[in-house]
Amino acid sequence: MQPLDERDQLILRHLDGETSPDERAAVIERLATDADFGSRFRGYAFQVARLHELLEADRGGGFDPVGDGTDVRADLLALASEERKAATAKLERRRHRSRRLTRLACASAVLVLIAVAARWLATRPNRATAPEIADLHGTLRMQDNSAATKGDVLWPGHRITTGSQAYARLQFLDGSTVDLSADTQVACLDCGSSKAIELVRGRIFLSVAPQAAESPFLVNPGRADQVRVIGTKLQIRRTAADETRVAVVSGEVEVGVNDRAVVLAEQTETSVARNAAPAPPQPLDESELWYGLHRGLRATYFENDDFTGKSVTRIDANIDFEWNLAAPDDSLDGTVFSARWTGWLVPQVTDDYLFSAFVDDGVRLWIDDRLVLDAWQIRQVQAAEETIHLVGKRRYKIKVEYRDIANYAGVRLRWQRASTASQIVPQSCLYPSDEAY
Amino acid sequence: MAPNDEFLTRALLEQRGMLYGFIYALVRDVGVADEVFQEVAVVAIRKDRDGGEPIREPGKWLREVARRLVKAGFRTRSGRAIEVDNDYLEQVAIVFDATGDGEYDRLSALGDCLEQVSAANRDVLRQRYVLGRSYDEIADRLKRTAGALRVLVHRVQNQLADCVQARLAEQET
Repeated sequence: MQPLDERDQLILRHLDGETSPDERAAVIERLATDADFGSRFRGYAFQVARLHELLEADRGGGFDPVGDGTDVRADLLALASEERKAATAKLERRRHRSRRLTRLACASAVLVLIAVAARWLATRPNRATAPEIADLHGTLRMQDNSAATKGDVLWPGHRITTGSQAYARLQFLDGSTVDLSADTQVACLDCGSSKAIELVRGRIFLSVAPQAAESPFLVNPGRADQVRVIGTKLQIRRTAADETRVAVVSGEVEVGVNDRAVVLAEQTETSVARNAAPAPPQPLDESELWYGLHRGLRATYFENDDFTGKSVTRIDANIDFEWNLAAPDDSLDGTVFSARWTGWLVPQVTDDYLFSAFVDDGVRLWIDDRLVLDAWQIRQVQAAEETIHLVGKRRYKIKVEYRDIANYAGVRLRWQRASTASQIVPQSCLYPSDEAY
Repeated sequence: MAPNDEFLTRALLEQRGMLYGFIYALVRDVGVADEVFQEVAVVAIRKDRDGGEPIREPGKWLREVARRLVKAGFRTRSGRAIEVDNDYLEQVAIVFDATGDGEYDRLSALGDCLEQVSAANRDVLRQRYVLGRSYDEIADRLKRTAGALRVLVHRVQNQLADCVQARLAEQET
């Protein structure tokens, strides 16, 4: 993860007209003596020219070499008249086709609208018992690809899908919640006083309030991977191999149907291949577990590297990111940015912990308002200077700040005990704060 | 119009990207580059009309016109005088004379690479390289800092250059 090459930086700054007299002299010197420098210099200048052309074409700009406000591109291009005529005819055909498609699309949209309205009138949900979208980050699409928003109510037949950086929470009237991870699709089969949903793909975390035994919360009802829940917390995940994995955090659930059903106790998990019986229960593998929005840290991402400007807030499961050159969130540009995570750290066992971070570009960590890790300058790996004694099950305030000031971006927050290997601070030990601080 | 009369205008049309890149390297400001380019175009069109000595290397001839315009103290329509160090003008001309065959055409991949840039970042590039706005002006409009925008633009430029190289490498294998 290297910052911009010194040579490229000098060229780009110079072409921006931002170099000092000394630097300009250095540019002239290097142009005269360094062929590679000259080649890159020429490359960036050509790139600006090409960008100028491409981006001007984007806005429909003209070519006006005489400077009298007349676009003479057509006149000049007429020199190559045959190609020009062919290109114009092609463009006209495309425009005509585009207009025809637009009219067809409008007519289709009206018909679809009428059909949707009729369906809505026929199957209007009971708002008193139907679940609503209680929390949402990123994009959430309905089955017709329209955008769902926080507060929308779901009813039978609805199918919702989260985007690649999104999550959502469905909340039922009795307090039961279904958290959808990114790239997850859930269909609402019976979303009233009785509850039945289908996990089509992705991962969900359920926190189910106690249900009557005769009307349990059902996931994938009637299928080999049916999950029957009376009241518990669990994760269900559909893998790419068309397998369903069920992991129970607390309480117990029944997985499968008829005589193939198995009971999963607390802290166990199983998997169900398509149309097969569930595998025997295994101890829960916490590293594979996503606790939904119940655990993690509240993250606020800022568009500048100094915690200013446009921001977006979400819940992150933990701090384990390698964004490279991508944006940390769809709503941000993703170049220079900063982030702040806040919440509570609850270690499982009492011990001495050594925190460390792999970071590009800078990170700071506070535990109970004490700065324990300060790697604010550009560094790759930084460990705290001393261990911290933490008491198991006790709640510690945690705050992490991060900034990306150039090029690649990434940060991983790890901890280590004397008896264990270094690991990412797990989601199971993190709880988001209600407000950022 | 007789075919020979169009010689420089055709060259201008075919090589306008390369010529614009050269002029931009000289003046380092898209607004000024646009005006110099227009002046070069006027000279070329007049030259075609008036005839005279045949031009053997039209690309080099057009660049030489641009260099002389800048060297002579080019003034923009707003009356701003453009002053560029002579040594710099000479050196840039030498560097561009060394342009390899098809070098500019290799940037054809830039269009695809540009599609990978977010709409917001593309808008910043457009403000900078089409509208010729300073970083301070763009920062005011977007409510961001000029420094952050400068880093952003340089980074995107670098990414685009890498992307074009990668596309070329893919084509070669």
